[in-house]
Amino acid sequence: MATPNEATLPKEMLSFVLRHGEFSKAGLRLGQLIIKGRSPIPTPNFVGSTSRGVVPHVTQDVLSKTTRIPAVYIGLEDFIEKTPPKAPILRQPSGKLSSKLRDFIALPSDCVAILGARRVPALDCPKQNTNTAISICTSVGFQSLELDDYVKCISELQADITVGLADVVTTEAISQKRLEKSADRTHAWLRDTLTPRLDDPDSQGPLFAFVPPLEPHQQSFYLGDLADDYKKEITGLSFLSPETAASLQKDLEALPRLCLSDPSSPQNVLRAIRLGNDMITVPLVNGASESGIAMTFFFDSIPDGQDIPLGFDLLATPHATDLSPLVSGCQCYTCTKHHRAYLHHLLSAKEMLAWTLLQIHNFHHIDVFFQQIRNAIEDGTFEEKAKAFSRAYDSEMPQSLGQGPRTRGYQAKSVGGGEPKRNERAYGRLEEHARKLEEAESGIATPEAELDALDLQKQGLGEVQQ
Amino acid sequence: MSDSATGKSAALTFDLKARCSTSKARASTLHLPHGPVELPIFMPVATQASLKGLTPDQLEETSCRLCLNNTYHLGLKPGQAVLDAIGGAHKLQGWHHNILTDSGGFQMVSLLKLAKITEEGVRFLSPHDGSPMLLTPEHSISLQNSIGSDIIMQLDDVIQTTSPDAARMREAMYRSIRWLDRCIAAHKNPTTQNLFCIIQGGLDLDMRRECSVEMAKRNTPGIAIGGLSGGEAKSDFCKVVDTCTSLLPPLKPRYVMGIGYPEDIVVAVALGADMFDCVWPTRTARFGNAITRYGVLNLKHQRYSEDFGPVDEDCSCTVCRPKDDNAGLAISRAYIHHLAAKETVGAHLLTMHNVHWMLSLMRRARQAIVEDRYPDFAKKFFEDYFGDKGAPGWAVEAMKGAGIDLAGGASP
Repeated sequence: MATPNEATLPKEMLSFVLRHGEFSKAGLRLGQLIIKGRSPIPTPNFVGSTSRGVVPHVTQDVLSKTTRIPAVYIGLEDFIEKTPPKAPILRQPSGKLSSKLRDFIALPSDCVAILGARRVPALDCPKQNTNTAISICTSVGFQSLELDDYVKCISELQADITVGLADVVTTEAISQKRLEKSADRTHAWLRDTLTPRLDDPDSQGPLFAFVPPLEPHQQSFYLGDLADDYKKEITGLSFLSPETAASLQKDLEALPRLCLSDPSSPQNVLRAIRLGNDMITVPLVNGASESGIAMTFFFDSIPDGQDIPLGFDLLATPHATDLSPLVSGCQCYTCTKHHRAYLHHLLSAKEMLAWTLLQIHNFHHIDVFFQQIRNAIEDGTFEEKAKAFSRAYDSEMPQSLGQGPRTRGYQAKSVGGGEPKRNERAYGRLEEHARKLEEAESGIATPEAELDALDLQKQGLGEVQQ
Repeated sequence: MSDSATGKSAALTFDLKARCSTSKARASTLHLPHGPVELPIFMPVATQASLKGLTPDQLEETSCRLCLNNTYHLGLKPGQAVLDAIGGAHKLQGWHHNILTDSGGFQMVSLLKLAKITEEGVRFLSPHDGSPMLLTPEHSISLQNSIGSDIIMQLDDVIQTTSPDAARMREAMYRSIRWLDRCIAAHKNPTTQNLFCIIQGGLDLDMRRECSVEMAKRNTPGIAIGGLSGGEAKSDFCKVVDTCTSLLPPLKPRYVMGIGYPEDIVVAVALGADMFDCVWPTRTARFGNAITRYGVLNLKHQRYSEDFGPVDEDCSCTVCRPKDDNAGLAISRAYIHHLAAKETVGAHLLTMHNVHWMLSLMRRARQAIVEDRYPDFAKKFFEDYFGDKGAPGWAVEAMKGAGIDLAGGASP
């Protein structure tokens, strides 16, 4: 059943066991990613996306106690406001067997750390990449990251998995010539990343080669090169687009595949799995939690019906006194310890704990979802269930009233000026009160003594009317 | 309602364990409906039924067993009807330990500058739609009955202690006594919720004395000293606490409202106070400030960007503890610097640390009282916390009054 993977190097650090069988014919794969010192990860599985080294709103103790996130993806650009080698993370003291990256961000030991250059999803940078550097976005603005610096950083930081540097072009209209340049650069960068490793492969952590989104004929050319030149040095493949997985040639099949995409819905996750992706980033979980949405979709016992919502907005009013869990029967911390009424209250009071509790639920929920997917692949019911899923559920995550946390510069950028402010103003919100004070003092609005006290009292404290 | 000879009342037992032989400091255990707490105590403020991003389990891990909720905020959101439907604030927030609520009056006066106080209550404009509202002592108690907090506070007439208007101050003091009588009459759950009175009287010690005596006559299960932390000189604050505690019955908990800097607490404990609350440790955490044995560090400062040590070396909180010590996170100052003011997790981590630090300070203070070495404890605290700057003059003076000579250095 299990076929040990020849391409796995260095063997003791990472191995990928792909289970061949009837389920592999449609592109579907079942496997197991084994990384030294971590729990084995059954695939397909998800990867949590981080911001500045944390799963947003989830402290490290909560992460290890209440979630089972098998792996997180970390963008180096979140750590290099100062150009390497001056970045503080590179000076993190660390033992021989530990990783500077993991020690710096205090990542729980059972969670795999995957490091790449950019965040997922990454913001577009105004400056073009060059032959030796890519444009990145740090919390202090757009900067360049030189390949040499990237290679030094990844060797210093020792993530469990590192993704090679890629010349990614995100503009919609992209010329043939630019695509070729992208392939050439990424290829050259991979070579330059691997060369220093040839002397001492054991000292370097597993590297996943980045496969740029190319036209099919270029793709096979690029991948052919990859297979010929670096098969031994590469422990996995990584791409931005889930489609890339389907265009891979046979002799690269045994490598684990990491898809750094931003699927907008569980249907897109299912699609990525069908295309043969093993590990998939799911920024939609963070997005749902920040907008106050609890996920409710399942891949087992898919309900009959149509347009069934994929989640629900806890800020919506019916939940104010609802003492039931977010999802009935859910075993997560949030659902076993709290209820909808509390989540509703926290969102309405704009308390940060709302996002934390929703992250706990939503990450638990996506974990269950992937477990159900793996079971379905195993028992041959994936296609049938995927169809039923698409039939039953809405194709998009629900809209919400929640405002989420304040957006930071490294999370979103201006699209050219003129757009409304992303954040509510933090200061001067009391100006309205000051105006009322003035009115009150002028005698217009102050409740006067002749108003009946009992009538006034009946009005309560000025509760927000639901 | 309370037996002042034994420290027992219907929903509370005050068990005095030890007294400092030098100062007025005391160690006791307060048995409340949701379990015992050890005094002196610092109570973190979970304003809107959540302690700034911490789960109830995380708050429990800081060793907190009594936290505050604000009546004014819970009255607005989720509102009394929802609280009644849910069955109170414990159920709302999944907190199985004790809760103390204020009366709502302080927020009304401090947040809503539009409030106007009459004999009926506090008249104000709804922050929601500007319509006229009235908070009476009866309404405040009714809200706190709905919240179900273990300790509830009377509505009092709060004015700035620094107000020069002595006549208004006197009016506020007498009105607070009249309002206490209305609160006692309105309180529906005296067997499950403890109503504390609040001594007013500004900085006028005679007024405070008169109020202390009147309030003590009402025999509430606990007694608060209110109106402080309003910008008065620290030496005036100390005099008020000292004056009140001398007149209060010994077997009742004494709560100084709104006090929370570590140095204020260490002094107020020596002056005979038992309970404190303040938003400062949690609010300052959100600004990137960490409380340590050697003072407050602003971790947002560039100088911490490569400081890979723990936030406080002596601290045993989840954030500071090494990994091999009961699953500590071993988070460095550098990483907090990396997160501060950018990710909510930065605020959560420092909130955990600061609350744990405050509670640990109180535990050490209590231990020192029990072992009758509070003067040494206080000296060491001021030496470490203020370093070369030395203890502030007001603290030296107040502690001298309590029999503790800070200038003399710790005895061996």
